[in-house]
Formats: sequence, C-alpha cells, structure tokens
Amino acid sequence: MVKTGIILTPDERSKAYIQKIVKNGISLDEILFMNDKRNEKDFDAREINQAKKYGFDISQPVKETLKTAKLDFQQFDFVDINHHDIEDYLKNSQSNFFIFTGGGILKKEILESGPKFIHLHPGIVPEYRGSTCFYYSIIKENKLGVTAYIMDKNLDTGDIIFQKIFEKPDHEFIDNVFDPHIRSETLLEILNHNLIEKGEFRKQDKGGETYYIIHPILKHISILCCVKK
Amino acid sequence: MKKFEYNYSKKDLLESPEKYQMSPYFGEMFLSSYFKSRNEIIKKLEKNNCPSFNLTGIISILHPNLTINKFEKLEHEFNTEELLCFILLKIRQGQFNIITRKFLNKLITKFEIKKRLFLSYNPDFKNLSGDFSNLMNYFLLSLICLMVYESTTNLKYLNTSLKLNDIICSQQQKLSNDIDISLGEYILKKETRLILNLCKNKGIEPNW
Repeated sequence: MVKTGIILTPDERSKAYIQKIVKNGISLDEILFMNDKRNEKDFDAREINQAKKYGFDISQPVKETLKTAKLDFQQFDFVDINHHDIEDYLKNSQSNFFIFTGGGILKKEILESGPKFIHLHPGIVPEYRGSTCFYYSIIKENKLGVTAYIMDKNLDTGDIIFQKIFEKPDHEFIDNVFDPHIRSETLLEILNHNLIEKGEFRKQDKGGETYYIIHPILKHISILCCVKK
Repeated sequence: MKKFEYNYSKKDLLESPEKYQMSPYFGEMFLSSYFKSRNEIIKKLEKNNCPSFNLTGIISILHPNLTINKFEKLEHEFNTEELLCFILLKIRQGQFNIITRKFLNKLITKFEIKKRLFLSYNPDFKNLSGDFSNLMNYFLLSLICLMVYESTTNLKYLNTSLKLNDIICSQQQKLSNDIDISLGEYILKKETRLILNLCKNKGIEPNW
C-alpha cells in the first residue's frame, strides 16, 4: 500500500491544497507543516472573493485549517525543505511520497532520504520549465497548464505523473489566487484518481525551455490578455 | 486618475539589483508609463547626434582581432565582452548554431541569477572577476537577446532584454562615448518597437 504525505508552508499554495483536500474528504498519511510564523498578508477583498469562487479562502492561515479539521501534523519552526531536521525526519518516515508545496531544488540528502517528492509546477513541461511560466504561456498560447512530477536533482525535469491544461482566467489575480487554484485542482485529480499509487510515470521529452522571473512589462501584457474583453 | 511612474530603472540597478519577484499589477497605465520612460531616455540620447549604430563597426573597434572561429570550444577562461561579440558575429553571419545558443543561454542564466555580468568566466561559466561594471556587456547581451527574440519570438529573450535595458537606463548618466550612446539608442528603440508590436498583436493599445 502506497503512503502519501504532504509538506505544507504558510503560503497561498498550501492554503489551497489543504483546504481543498479537507473539503473533498481526502485523507493523507502524514502532514508536515514548515511554519516560520510569518505575518499573514493583507489581501484585497476582490482577491479573497475570487479565491472563494474557486473553493478556498486565502485569508485563512494553514494552521487554522489544520486545527479546525482536527488533522495531526508535525510542525517545524522554519521554512527550508533542505534543513537537516527535515532530512532526519524524512529518514524515519513511513511515507513513500510527499507532495511538496514549495519550490526550488532539493539537495541530494533530501532526495535520498527515502520518500519521493511530488511537485505541482504551473507549466506544461518540457516547453514551460522554470519560473512564472503561466504568464509566458498565456501570452503565447492563451492558456496555461500544470505538471505534477517526481522531483529530481534538477529543476522541473522529473518524471511526469499528470498534466492538466486550463483556460486563462478573466481576472488579474493570478499570483495569489489562480496559480494556487490550478495547482490544487490538478492535485485533487491526482489524488481522486489514485495516480500516485498507479505509478504510471513517464519520462519527459527532450528539449523544452526554461523561463526566468517575468519582467513586469510582460507580466502586464499577460494579465491584460486575461482582463481585456 | 492615479498616475503610475515606471520605477524599474530609477535606482542604480548595478549596486542594488532588482529581483522582479511578485511584481504588482497596475493596469494598462503601467505600459504607458514604461513607453514614456523609455522614450524620454531615447530623446536624451538622440540629442547627442551620434553616428548611426553600426554593428560590424562596433565589433571591429571593441575586438579587432576577433574571428568567427575563436570560441568553437570553451577551454579557457574568457572575456565576457569578447564572447558576446563572437555570438553577435555568428548571428550576423547566419551561423547561430547549437553551441552559440548554449553559450548565450549560459550567459542569460548567469545574468538572471545575479542580475550582473562579470568581466570574465571560466569554461564552466563560474565568474572569475568581482567586476560587473562593464556596461558594454549589458548592451551586447541585450542586443543579442532582442535579435534572437525577433527571429524566434521566444519570450525568454525579450524578458531578459527588458531587465538588461532597465540596468542600462539606470546607468544613463554614465553613457558618454559615441558607441555607448548609439548602441543605447538603437537597443531602446528596438525594445520599445518589439513591445509595441507584441501589445498590438494582443489587442492592447497603450496610450502614451
């Protein structure tokens, strides 16, 4: 039997993931919460309303969701997936997979600690690897996508579990609302269809492109593609 | 109506690099403020009445002994400006191949991580110098990125050029010789034309 856990952080992505998991009655075998006790952001009321239309509340802290749903979790007082305390914990974990809600590159010791790590990347790989891919995809193709893959030592190159395409939104709240929404919807599909247990992962095609943080001018063009009638 | 200033080239971006993370959205007015900002700088550069930009002339002044075969392999440390001129020569001669593209992408990666270009690197692109002040490196990489974007429409290159041009604009008071000024004018005009074309293709008509 395959055991799957999740590693949460105090950001909008984690909020969307855990709230939708709870709402859909999905149970996970293990929950880790990296919590540096940062101050919660002040969100625009329009952002909060848009997120609620998508089924999650960006103003609700992750810890509140965990406590309200009476979920057991292991808390760490830092946000750093490569921390030695995380490495020590993972070496003793019984979970086969962890859904990792953060980003970046995992160090070798974490990758070799035992479990495999699943990341939901907001881009269809290999064409859209790297950062802020969804903005580039909206400009080029008027749509965007998410890839769930098993993390390896490089960025966005791991074996693919599942990919899902989404239409571009009709609002401007992409970073804090739409991005967490499409990642969490993709996660729900993976969990509801037991795609992790099925283990039918495929290698990525050669080639592709890696993008860097989008410049504000291109970001504005991308958002205007969404909001202009 | 709230007026937006294009603030991404106001501070000294070489001393205080801009990370561009989670940049805020201001609406269509922001694009207008960008065009206004860039055009103000273009007008200042035009006032110098420098000779028109000439790519071959500039390369022959900067690196008169550079040949089209110089960097077929990177086996030793290299001068960044010379490698960039080499890439430009290759593009000019229609020989922008896999190896040249690999060099370009490595330099872009280096720039995107540090938001600086150093005077020299080793064959693994580890920087060998703490000096990132050579503005010509930023000019040349930006020009290459704009040319590659024009021929491929790969937004990655236009994206990097925008950041390089923000740096160049933040250093405008240092532009004093004919080469810097003519190159700066040419690059900024090219960038704004490409951005305007992209806007029009997307049905966006910035008002400026």
